[in-house]
Amino acid sequence: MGRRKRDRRDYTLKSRKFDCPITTAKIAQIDHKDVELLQLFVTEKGKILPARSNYISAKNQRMLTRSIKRARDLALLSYTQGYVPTESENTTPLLVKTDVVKTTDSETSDQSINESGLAAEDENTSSAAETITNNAGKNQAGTSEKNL
Amino acid sequence: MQNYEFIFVVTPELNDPDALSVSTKYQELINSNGGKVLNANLWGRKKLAYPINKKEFGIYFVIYFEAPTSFVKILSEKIAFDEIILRNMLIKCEDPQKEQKFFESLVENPKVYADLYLDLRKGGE
Repeated sequence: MGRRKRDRRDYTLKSRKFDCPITTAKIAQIDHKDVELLQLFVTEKGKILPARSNYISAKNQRMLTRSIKRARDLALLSYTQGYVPTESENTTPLLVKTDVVKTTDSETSDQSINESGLAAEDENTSSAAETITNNAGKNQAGTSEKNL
Repeated sequence: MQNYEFIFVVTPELNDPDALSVSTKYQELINSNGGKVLNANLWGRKKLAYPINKKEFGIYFVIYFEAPTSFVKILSEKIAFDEIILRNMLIKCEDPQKEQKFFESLVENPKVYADLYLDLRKGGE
């Protein structure tokens, strides 16, 4: 018989002797949109690494798995190949904050969506957010709905 | 009334004004059913990690809104019949303003949180 290799009194996991790096780095939130962080915890074949190799706490590991599985569903991470950094067609991200569409009619304006969209592409160096007016969106939506 | 986060992916064949009309269509749906849109974003045209319906690129949208719980069924029925949308995800949200700030900081610099983690690992080992 002999003594079991993992006698609980004497054995502690090596990962439990160190502090969790996510809490010490003060990362408050592990999000499914944050692909650069998630890809550090995934192998080359796309598998999720166990917590004992990351020295991560159990609570954070649960958050990690949940966000990795969500990102896989949204096609931000691959199931089989991990993270493959590619250059997209737009090298800079295009963040356009659209105005909230309200039910009541607001004041009209001359700016159209075409102009604002192209202006955003011209200002590629600065990733500044641009707002789009309500009625331009509504007019476009009206015409597109009629066409459909 | 519950706060939600709605992410959806759209076919890449649409031009810029058509893509924005999709988001306004869903915003009007939300407003007409007793909800309120807090923030709407266009994340951009990205390469998908795997092809969906034989397409390699997709246009991503992120919308934060507030709506009664009966609205979820209406939304899911609308999405199922829409051929433009490839993938979608509706998630409950506690603080949508905080999530919006987090999202904006991610878009400016996608490696913010990864760098924090990597600096620690190098220093520790």
